[in-house]
Amino acid sequence: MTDLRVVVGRGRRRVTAVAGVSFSIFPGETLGLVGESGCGKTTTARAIVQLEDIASGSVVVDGIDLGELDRGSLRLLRRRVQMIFQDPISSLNPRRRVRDIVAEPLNIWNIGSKSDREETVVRLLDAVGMDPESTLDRRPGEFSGGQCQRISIARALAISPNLLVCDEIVSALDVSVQAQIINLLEDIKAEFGLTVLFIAHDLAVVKAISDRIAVMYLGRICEIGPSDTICGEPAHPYTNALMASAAPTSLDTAPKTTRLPGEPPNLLNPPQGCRFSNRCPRAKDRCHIEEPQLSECGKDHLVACHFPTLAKTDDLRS
Amino acid sequence: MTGDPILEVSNLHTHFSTDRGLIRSVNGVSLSIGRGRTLGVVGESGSGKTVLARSIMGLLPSANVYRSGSVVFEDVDLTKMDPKALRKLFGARIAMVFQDPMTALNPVMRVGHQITESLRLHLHMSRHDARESAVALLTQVGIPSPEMALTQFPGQLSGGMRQRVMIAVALACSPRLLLADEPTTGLDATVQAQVLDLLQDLQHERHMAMILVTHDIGVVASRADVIAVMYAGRIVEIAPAKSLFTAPMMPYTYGLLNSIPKITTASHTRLTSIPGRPPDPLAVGSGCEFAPRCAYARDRCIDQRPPLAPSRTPGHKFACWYPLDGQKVLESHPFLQPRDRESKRR
Ligand SMILES: Nc1ncnc2c1ncn2[C@@H]1O[C@H](COP(=O)(O)OP(=O)(O)OP(=O)(O)O)[C@@H](O)[C@H]1O
Ligand SMILES: Nc1ncnc2c1ncn2[C@@H]1O[C@H](COP(=O)(O)OP(=O)(O)OP(=O)(O)O)[C@@H](O)[C@H]1O
Ligand code: SF4
Ligand code: SF4
Ligand SMILES: [Mg+2]
Ligand SMILES: [Mg+2]
Repeated sequence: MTDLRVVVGRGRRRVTAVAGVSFSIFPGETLGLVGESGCGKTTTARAIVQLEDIASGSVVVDGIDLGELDRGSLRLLRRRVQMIFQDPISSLNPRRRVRDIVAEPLNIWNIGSKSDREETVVRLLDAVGMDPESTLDRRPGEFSGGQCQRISIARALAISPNLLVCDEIVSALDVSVQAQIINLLEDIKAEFGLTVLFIAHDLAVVKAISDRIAVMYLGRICEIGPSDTICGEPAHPYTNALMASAAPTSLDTAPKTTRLPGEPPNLLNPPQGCRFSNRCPRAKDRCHIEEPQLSECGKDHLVACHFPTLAKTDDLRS
Repeated sequence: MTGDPILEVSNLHTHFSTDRGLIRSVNGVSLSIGRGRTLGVVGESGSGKTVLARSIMGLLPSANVYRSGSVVFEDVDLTKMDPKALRKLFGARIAMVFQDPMTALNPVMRVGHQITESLRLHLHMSRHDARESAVALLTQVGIPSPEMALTQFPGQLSGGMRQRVMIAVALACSPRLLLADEPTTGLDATVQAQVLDLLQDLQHERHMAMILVTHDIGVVASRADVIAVMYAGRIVEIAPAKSLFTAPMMPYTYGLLNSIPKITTASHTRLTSIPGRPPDPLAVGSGCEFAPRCAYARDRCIDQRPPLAPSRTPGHKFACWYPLDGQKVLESHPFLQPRDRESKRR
């Protein structure tokens, strides 16, 4: 698995959900993707797994440009890339039993004998913290949201993909299960040399699992770098704001009052110049005219801002 | 909780009969909530939070459900009301924000219609007024271009926007009581803060009571007056927020608090989690449901179920035979030690 590059632009009702996003995920790496709701994280993920048409740009997996493949090779490639969805309940077929849901990819790809598959399903359910015996013959409707999510994780892992795209997979889970799933992903990753794109909105969760974090705002990447750098010394004003509104870590800290001013802008009509300029506390004239490009501001650290924070920032969190 | 309660739930049980046996999702929950107050409900996935909220509202599948106990809202027992009267109450006096917005919103109905429908039904607004209110509501919940959103179908909105639309629908008629099941799950930190602020403002403005169901303890930590912790369909600890965080008595509560990832912790630090998994909802035990996963369990825990009993702190109740010693907890409590913990890679 080499360099994966994504440049997507998509028009629908003249909405460009993802407007020129580029990043690479290196083999065995976990890249976290965070950003405001509606900024295009899911759309980016769907483009990578070919569920969304790409208007321009390319997705390159293992050196192969997905856009240049015929249907047959695409199908083969799809096996290496699996996605787990944000909405666990509606992504599972309500009429099927758990045993068939988890075995589905194995059946599609015709992997192993019937008893092998059965064994794999039991092992996976166990791995995601479900009791196989009491779950195998139940249907999704009988499970809670979190339990459904674990079932869909088991399904995605069934055919041991190389790249796993996780869209908000722990958002619906309580902290203890969330911790279990993250630890599980870390184990699986180590065991199978898995590469992971981990989308979430909870920075602490993303930080726990990621090597690097990409921050997205309004269809573009505004900052990308090593997890500790992004969380410890964010350079982009939006990342700063995200950090500041992360849930308080101490009880005595009142809920943070520093809120971003203004409304999240409209995708139909993004602000001129820098996309964050209408809400940015640091915006100057230049920001309203010229759109900043991603450029290096530290070791492996890119930021798209004319006036990034370069020195270590004040601890905004407490 | 002080003041006369707006809602009083007593000994509520909800069981589902399935072809595998009886699933006991809610087992004798009693709670009350004062006017304008916030009750947070937290607990592991599958612990029965959603079923509890739906049982209170009477919104359960019609077949194979057994519900017992009473749900008294403003002096009326909802469990004894006929469906027609209930429907009038819902939306107008009590509203609910559902966990899964995609299944709660009607996928083939435009967002605008879903909001105005309720306004016109309950508040008898004209089409024009209802539309204006709908725009105002969507603006309040932070939807960037409300006019456009009104004409869209739920499937065309991002997950977070759908959630905000749900909230707008629920708040449309200024209910007295809002049951919010995971209202900010799936929202990023800045929007989450905005939505919670909004809920809090509206709550004060309208003196609305709220039951905030969430798996994210960070959400309720600073916003709920009282927090209830659920495990296997029961409330195992309930206390004023501060008391719960500084001196949890029940080992499960402590385990939950300990599992919260912190942004100050180095990346790839092994997260602490509670070992094991929740009990099979089909099994009927006689002891403490948490015993198989509890580090403090003794024989008594397996034989006898601990009752929800008061502690020394007013308003703090817990169900445990061998509660934690407050002092011991304080030393290692993650909330009180937000600084870096050393890497605990197993
Ligand atoms: N089918 C569609 N039709 C019209 N607009 C769409 C459609 N799908 C997505 N969009 C728009 O594209 C934008 C990006 O959506 P996307 O789901 O990728 O956001 P997201 O970053 O995943 O947000 P969230 O965190 O809320 O899930 C949103 O503004 C959304 O309204
Ligand atoms: N319609 C149903 N039929 C049978 N069992 C059900 C049904 N609905 C819920 N259950 C069971 O009831 C239990 C409680 O589910 P519930 O949805 O209340 O959990 P929850 O606490 O809301 O979890 P989460 O945090 O994951 O949403 C689960 O074991 C679930 O499998
Ligand atoms: S370029 Fe200007 S407006 Fe944009 S984030 Fe940087 S300082 Fe703010
Ligand atoms: S009653 Fe026993 S098993 Fe249950 S939480 Fe308390 S110590 Fe643990
Ligand atoms: Mg999304
Ligand atoms: Mg639930």
